[in-house]
Amino acid sequence: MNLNKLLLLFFLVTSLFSNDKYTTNFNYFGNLSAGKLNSSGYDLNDYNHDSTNDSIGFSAYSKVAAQFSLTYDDLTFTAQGLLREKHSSLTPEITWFNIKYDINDNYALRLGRIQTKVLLNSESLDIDYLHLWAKPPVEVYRLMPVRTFNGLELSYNETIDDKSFHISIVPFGFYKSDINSNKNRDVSLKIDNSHSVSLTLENETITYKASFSKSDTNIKDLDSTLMIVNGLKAYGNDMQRYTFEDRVTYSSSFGVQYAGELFLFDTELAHFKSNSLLPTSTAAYVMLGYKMDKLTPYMIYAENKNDKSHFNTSNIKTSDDRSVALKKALNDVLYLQNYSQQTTSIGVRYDIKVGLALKTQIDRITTTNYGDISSLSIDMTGYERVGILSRDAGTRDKVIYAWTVSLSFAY
Amino acid sequence: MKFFIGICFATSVLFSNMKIYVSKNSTIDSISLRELKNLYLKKTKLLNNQKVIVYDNQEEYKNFCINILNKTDGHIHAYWMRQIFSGKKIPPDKIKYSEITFILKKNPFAISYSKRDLDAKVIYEFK
Repeated sequence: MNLNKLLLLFFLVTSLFSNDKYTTNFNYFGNLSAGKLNSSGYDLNDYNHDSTNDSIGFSAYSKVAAQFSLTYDDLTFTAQGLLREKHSSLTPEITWFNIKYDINDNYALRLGRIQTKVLLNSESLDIDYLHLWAKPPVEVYRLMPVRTFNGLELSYNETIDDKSFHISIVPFGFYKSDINSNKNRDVSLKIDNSHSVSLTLENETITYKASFSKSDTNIKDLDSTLMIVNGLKAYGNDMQRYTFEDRVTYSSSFGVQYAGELFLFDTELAHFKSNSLLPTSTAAYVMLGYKMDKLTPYMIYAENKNDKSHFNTSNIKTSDDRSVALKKALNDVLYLQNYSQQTTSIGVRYDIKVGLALKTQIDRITTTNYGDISSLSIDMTGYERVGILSRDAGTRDKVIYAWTVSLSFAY
Repeated sequence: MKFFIGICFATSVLFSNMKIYVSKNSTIDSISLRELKNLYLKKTKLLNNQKVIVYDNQEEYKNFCINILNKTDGHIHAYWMRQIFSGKKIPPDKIKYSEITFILKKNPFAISYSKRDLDAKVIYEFK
């Protein structure tokens, strides 16, 4: 369906329901952003949008989105569409499309396309205006390959004085999407049997959030990886955890957000575990901002640490030259999968007016590698490292700086 | 003379207290500041176990945010953006001062506010 048809449908729906019994709301948000890295041969990757490299790029964080909601008594229908440039073409995404039924003041049911609540800011990550940062801490937010799913959500809310408690349970969810693995190359990801629970406790200044999720994930393995895995399997090794297909992933997180009169503070600890080729990973960030009227300078430290034991292949048996060579190739594949890195950021946000903010941020990024990689694999793959910050073959490992400037709005 | 009356009226509105109104037929007689905040932030829809509908007064919205909700309109805007785009809640309808009395008369469970005197029952006065 092209954009004109979508707009026509939207106006038809709004005119149909422009009646006293119904309440309709139309809102929009967006971000005009430019970013670049200071050195060639590197790419800063994210699953959900284009990568950033040493050329000034607008596509990584720029987007525009519109949301329509229709409320009739205790039923609310919500549809949100987001448009961003992906790999040089404008790509629309349906980020909300669901119906919510408020059973009473405490309980609600939602069915359809829903945004995940797995991390502290998962639901609002695309709404840049709501965040102090110009660029979210990728060390934590890239742990989750998808932000939406199709399924059912049950929620319970309780408000006592100024304190609110919210619990959300997803008994089932599924999703299929192409995600940007690295350097703007897509892979197809399928998620099934997704279950999650998230708890939020908040008052006017502090929010605490904890969540847990479990999903079946499926990414098609590369033929080269399958050749190595099947080769070593023939020597009696259990090689299941070295593939992406039909795996189970778990994630858990705990976050705290403080918004005081002068100080703003966010912190989050997240853990991602998968019995696949993707390493088990623990990530965290801390952000501190200080409000000076319309100007808010801030700093962020974020770190992602892959579990070292994931890269240890000492239990894989080898008995001849071929199996030794296959094991070396597996070590190279694992080396490339490591995405441990640290980022220290400074930035400033200027609130131009209500609903409009200008932000800029500089990130200092360093990576941690485990073991080493053979020059043969570097030549064959064209990479020294894949991960969040990927490095092309022949590029020296060094500190990288990323710069982002953005104009964010939400109305 | 008209100018003088206009100045007197504007001054009386400027220095008068914000009042929370319901219809004269409403069974609601009073409301606490906390209940009011929770209703206007849509943390609950119930008052005395009865579903109520709150309306913002377009002309006095900024004043209400600062005095009653204890937040700037920028904070409240961010709050609603977060609620709207996470599919949780939508803000109260904003109505004109001239519509308040009519809406309150039509619905005994509607609540709104104004600094001006209205033909309706006052259930809270901010001093």
